Amino acid sequence: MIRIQHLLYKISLSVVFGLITSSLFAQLTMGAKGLGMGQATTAIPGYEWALFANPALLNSDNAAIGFYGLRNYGFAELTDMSATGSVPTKLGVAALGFHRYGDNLFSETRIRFGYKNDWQMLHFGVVANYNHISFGADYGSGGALGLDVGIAAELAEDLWIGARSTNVNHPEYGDIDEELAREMAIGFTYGLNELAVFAFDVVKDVRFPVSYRGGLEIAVIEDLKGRVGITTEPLSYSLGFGYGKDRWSFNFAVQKHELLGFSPGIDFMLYF
Amino acid sequence: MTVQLMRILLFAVFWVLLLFPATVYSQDTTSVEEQLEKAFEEVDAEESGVAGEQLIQFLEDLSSNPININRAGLDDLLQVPGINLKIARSILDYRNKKPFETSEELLEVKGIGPATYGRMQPYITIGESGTQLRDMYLRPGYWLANHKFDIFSRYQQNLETREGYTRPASSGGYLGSPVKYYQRLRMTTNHLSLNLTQEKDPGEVLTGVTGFDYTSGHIAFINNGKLNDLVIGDYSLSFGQGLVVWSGGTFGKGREVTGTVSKNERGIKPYSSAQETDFFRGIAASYGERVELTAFYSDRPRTASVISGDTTRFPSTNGFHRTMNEKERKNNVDQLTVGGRMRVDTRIGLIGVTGYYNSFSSYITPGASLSNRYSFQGSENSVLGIDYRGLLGNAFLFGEFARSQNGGHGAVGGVEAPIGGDTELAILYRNYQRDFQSFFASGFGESSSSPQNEEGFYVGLRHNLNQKITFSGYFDQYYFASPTFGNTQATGGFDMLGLTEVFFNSRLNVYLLLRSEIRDEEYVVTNDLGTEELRVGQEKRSSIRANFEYWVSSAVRLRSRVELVRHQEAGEEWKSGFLIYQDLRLQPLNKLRIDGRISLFDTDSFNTRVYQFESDLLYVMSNTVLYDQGQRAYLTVKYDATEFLDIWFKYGVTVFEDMQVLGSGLSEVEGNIRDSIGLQARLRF
Repeated sequence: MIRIQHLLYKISLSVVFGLITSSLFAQLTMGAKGLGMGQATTAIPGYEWALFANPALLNSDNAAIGFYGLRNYGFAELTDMSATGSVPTKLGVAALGFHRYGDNLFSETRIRFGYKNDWQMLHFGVVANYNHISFGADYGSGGALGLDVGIAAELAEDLWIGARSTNVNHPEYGDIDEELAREMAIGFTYGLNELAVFAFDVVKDVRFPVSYRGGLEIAVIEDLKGRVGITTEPLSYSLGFGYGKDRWSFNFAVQKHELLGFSPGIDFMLYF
Repeated sequence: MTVQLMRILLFAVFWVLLLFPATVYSQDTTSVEEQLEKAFEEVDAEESGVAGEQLIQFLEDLSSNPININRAGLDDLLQVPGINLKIARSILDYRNKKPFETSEELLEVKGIGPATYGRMQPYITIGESGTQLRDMYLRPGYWLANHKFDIFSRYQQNLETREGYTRPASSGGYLGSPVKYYQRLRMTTNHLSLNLTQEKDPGEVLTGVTGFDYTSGHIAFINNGKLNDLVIGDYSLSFGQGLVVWSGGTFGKGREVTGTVSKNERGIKPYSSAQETDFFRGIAASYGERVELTAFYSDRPRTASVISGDTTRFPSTNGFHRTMNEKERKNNVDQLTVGGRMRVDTRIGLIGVTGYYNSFSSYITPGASLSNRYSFQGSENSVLGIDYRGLLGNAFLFGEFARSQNGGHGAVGGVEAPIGGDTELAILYRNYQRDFQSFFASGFGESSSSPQNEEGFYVGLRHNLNQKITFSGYFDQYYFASPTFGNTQATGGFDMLGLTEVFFNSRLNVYLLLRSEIRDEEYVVTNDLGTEELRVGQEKRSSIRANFEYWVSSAVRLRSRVELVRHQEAGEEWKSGFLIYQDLRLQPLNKLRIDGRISLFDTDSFNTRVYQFESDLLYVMSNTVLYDQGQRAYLTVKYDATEFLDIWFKYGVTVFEDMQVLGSGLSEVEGNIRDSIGLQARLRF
């Protein structure tokens, strides 16, 4: 009985938050840097978590692995955890990612395999992502294979454009007849000067209102960066910082939703 | 192969081609497509279909047979978009001193700035400056000089089954297959044009080579001494400012705010389009230089709904003969037209007089609604008009006045003038009386149908702030003195456009476009007594678009667009629409061009619909209207397989959200997907 109540609580929590935040269940974009910059991640070149944003901008400089955790609105039940790894090769960049949201009663799991290359200064990437959703206590589960695509280009020095479209093959969770979220985003990133980078995205989920996202990253002192961002639909703002050396980096951000409160996120990256 | 399997294969091809291109490249011009987009981007497909298909053909033909600026006469120069009378005269003056050695020299001609040059560039050539062969009509070489043979074959099909194909013919279903097929044989030389066009629309029956629903042909003699044109067969006519006769498509209100309000007549043009109704069939000729005389005779069958006995509605423009009913009434009305024109090139400008007499074999009666009160009724009509184009200092003046047989008048007049070196102004006033009945006409105006029942004033201004930034805008106010469709009284309104274009460099340009339109509209309210009351309110529509275009390298072009639309019907709440798309053009080889696009749209209503102009098969007008919620993707490939063979391919798919059925009536489709395929080949030798 307790389990059922707990499950109903979880489901209702997810649905209510889903309705309010326009992103059903889990977050789609990962990484504390992106969170700190208002999730305007479509055109950030070499973004470590590009596998979850725009695969055309996967890091092609060095191999990297990273871990990320986000506690949505402070609820332990609404936690995102993910890991990513990417390897540049002669044939392009290959990346593998994992993401899990929820607990035993309700969970959403994603495994992503990405590939990126460039041709004629056009960066392009594709992600095959297996999504699995599970309701505990035998209430059902389902899986679906989605395909994301992205492109990007550097228009001028430090000015980038990126575009991505998720789940272009219109996948559905087989058993529970639920379609996966389909988003399209176009974004710009511009290095204002040596110290500051500005990013702006227009993001549209086919079923939800258009969301505008903007963020700024500023080099505060050596190796330490401060970040600020604003997102609409749902309206939120975020602050964060990152500290990094050649072989590792650490990022932290907190997002404040208008009604639901704070969501802290943290990631740790290693470079090889 | 099942349709489902075909879809999956096409989808796979789509992404493979989009993501894994080859490695060599080149670049070609896209100007024709861009100009069509500017002209038709906000026009519904059905409306643009009539004029658009002919205009696309006119511009593509002009682009593949560009005008030689060292040899062309005044009328030929005036065919080129961007060239008005003032510029044409300046070109003639310039080349009298010295021939053009490069096309960029046009920038030295007074009145031609980078924007105008950009518009005309695809349609002009320097060619060789030599004299024409004259009076050698008996030599085959004269008739065959610069000869080209084109053979087209085009197949298009919607991949879902529509209701019309499942219903038996006896219950109103379509008689033929869902394939749309078009073929064309054409030979052109410097002095000759021969053409045969045949088409079958979806649902129409095709029974062998002679069994096409639509067949059009002509033999034309062009530029033979003083005999400018002689066409036997199908032809189009466009004279003056279009108030008497204008077929073949025209630019109207759009992103080009100046230079498009006046019209440059094309005279007699041999007809080869697949648009089935907007042409004449018979014989037409024009003769002369300073004084040009034109005469035309046309007798062609038309299709109209029968009201009773020999009374019909006005002939239809859609050209569909798919069901038994449609087929039964095919060619049930005969239309005879005889007319002429005289145009004199005087010191003060070009002055023309045009007139025709037209008769139908049936008695035409319009519908009973108030908006049809002044529509043409009867079996005979004639229209006579006088038109003018001339220069006054730097200003280009144009105008036409016409009168229809019933006494109705139509008039249009305007001026296009440079103000200083960086600004252009266009002003136009039109007054088409409610009873002006000129059904071959296409005058400038708000209404897409023939000019009638409209008075309006247009002001357009374009200003180059510097070499990189251009501002354009127009304001157009209009008034309909008698009821229009859906209204019972006089209404009016205005629309305006503001455009800022920034050309950062030769590879990157961005524009921001704002449009707004407010017009009167009647709506019904229930008053305190519970009875319905008719009121006049305002219908408002506005949109804002950010468009970004960038050549990443000479082989890759990106285009991104975001557009927001808001609309409010009189007495109702605001509704909104949204479009976002990413477009990618790849030219991995000189011979290969690939266009792909993914769009996402979300509109609250049909009135907040969004339009996207698409790359398509050659001569196909593709302005897709999107409404409701969904996504669209398409892929167009053009491949020049050999020197004499070009191939086009297109696959487009639209997936709607939460829809079980799309369309209605015979077009109804089960499911939420609409996809179509097109394949075209052209042989040239």
